[in-house]
Amino acid sequence: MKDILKMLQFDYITVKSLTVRYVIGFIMLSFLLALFKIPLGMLCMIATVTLFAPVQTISNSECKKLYGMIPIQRSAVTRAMFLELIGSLVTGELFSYLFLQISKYAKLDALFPEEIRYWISDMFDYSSKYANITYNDLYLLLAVVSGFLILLSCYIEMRAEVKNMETAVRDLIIIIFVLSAVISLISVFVFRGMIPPVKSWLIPATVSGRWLSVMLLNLIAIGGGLGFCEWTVKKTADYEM
Amino acid sequence: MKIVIKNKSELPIYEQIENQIKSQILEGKTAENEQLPSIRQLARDLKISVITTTRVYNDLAEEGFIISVAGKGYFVAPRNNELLRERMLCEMEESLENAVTHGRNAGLSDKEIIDALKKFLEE
Amino acid sequence: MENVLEIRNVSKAYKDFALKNITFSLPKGYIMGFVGENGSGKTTTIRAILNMAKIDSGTIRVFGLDSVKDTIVIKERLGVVFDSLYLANHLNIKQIEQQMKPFYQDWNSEEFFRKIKNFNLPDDKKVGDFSKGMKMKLMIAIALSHNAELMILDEPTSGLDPVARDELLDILAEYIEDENRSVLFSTHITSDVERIADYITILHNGKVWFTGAKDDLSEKYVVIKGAEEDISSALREKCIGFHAYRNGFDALLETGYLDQLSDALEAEKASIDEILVYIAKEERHERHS
Repeated sequence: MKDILKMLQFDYITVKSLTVRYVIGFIMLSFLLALFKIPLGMLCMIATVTLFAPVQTISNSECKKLYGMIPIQRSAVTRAMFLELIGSLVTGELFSYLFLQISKYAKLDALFPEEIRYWISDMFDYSSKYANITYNDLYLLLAVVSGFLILLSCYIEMRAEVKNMETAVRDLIIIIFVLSAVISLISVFVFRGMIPPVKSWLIPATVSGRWLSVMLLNLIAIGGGLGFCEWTVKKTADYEM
Repeated sequence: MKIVIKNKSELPIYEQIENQIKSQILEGKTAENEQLPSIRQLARDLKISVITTTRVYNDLAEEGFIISVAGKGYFVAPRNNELLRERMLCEMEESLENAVTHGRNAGLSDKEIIDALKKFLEE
Repeated sequence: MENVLEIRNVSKAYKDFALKNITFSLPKGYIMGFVGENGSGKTTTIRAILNMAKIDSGTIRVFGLDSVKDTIVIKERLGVVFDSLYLANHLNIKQIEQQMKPFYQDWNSEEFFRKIKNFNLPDDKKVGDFSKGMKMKLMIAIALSHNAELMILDEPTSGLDPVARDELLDILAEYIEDENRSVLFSTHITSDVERIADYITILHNGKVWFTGAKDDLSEKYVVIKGAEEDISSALREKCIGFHAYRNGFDALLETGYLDQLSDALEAEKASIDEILVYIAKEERHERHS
């Protein structure tokens, strides 16, 4: 446990001068825009995941020697890597919820002249215009998307460590293709009315029900991510450095 | 004490050092009880291996040129040191033997050889 | 004499290379030069010591501890220097000190910065901009700042100019002034080893060709030269890396056979460089015959 913390601290120093300021900048911008009901903050996860991204690129080269040299367990290095990944994604996700909430109750867009206000509510106000999608649905959607992102990135990380980078990238491309194809197909069916919108029976009716689903989705995703982590630790225990 | 190593010499390094230290002691160029650098210090200064300097000091101590004082280091042996004196005696006898051989080879008589020796004693 | 490093019957097979039955030891308080041509297995051996590579058979003990089971404890007391920098290029020395400090219980910040000052390294420039010599010195400063009892250097002088190499050797000599410390350094620049090493291990093709005191090695071999007809065929068999050219031949020979040598032949003490070259030639002969 202490070893993992040491690694996290180490990696933090590495990225501190590189990505931290940009991530913080994005968060502050999101906060500002949320006040005007523009939910840029939904993309927070994408920003926070870049926090530790340099560690990924750096550790694929000469720096591997460092891990062999310092008195630290290999498993700690791997676990720290996954924790950084999951941690940064979850943090982004939490910020997204925060900004969504702020957007929902924000009134600052009243400051804007009418045309802009209508434009914003056209684009972003989900409480009334599109009856099919409400803010509540967005939370759920966010949970699904983050859960998926967490599982996907941990899976790719695992492939990169257990096999190699090329295999991981290949897997990623395949997954993106397959996913796009499936989603397009489903959209077509839904559009043509061939599959009734499953919304009604998938989405819980009550507010607390939705938050429960959100938590459940996250737990599954994080659990899965940690599962990939432990699998990676096990498989790479005997690898050369 | 001056110690200089020639890299290209055929003589092993330890021999070079031993010879230099020995001749400086024998020629009286060193002070009695002068302290020598430690084994590892000497190795560092000359940029050679510790085993080499250890061997040098061991050899020199065995032959009586230097003495090792526990906890303090190595020192030039005092002049009245028995071993050193004996060694110097040996050297002298060797030189004398050489001189006699050379003299006889040159065809000198015993008296002429002794006269030559006297000349050196008077200097 | 206590051995700070003991390698016994270590073997490891890769696809097209193998370490075969490597055995050698380093007694505490001395420097061992680890030499061999590129690809002879030096780096593999060092990685095995650091448990960065798993060995197929044999044992490695450092400070009397098992190199696999006790690898973490060992690394606290070990200073390692590689041939290239293992740190992120955009960091400066102050940040790197922050990074390394938590990993070592005995980390001494004052000592570290004293060494940095000694080596004339700027503590606010990016380390990626350092020259090779400066990067080397940085790695050494790190290795020297946590009371390491054994320093392992893997080709530390490759790519360094003669001035930097000389400085490095002096740093090692100063380190070893304390007889509780030892050094293992691998290099293919044999002149580094020639003077300062106490012990030598020569690796060739994954096997130990010689291990022991350097003085023993330098007295063990001579290079003989002369006309081909001046050497008996029996003696010719004993030669290593026999090289015949139009006007004569040269070869490596064990000093023990010197008395069988005809006076017409020249014999000179062999340098480590020459030993390595003749070993390689010998191998080429074996492969062709």
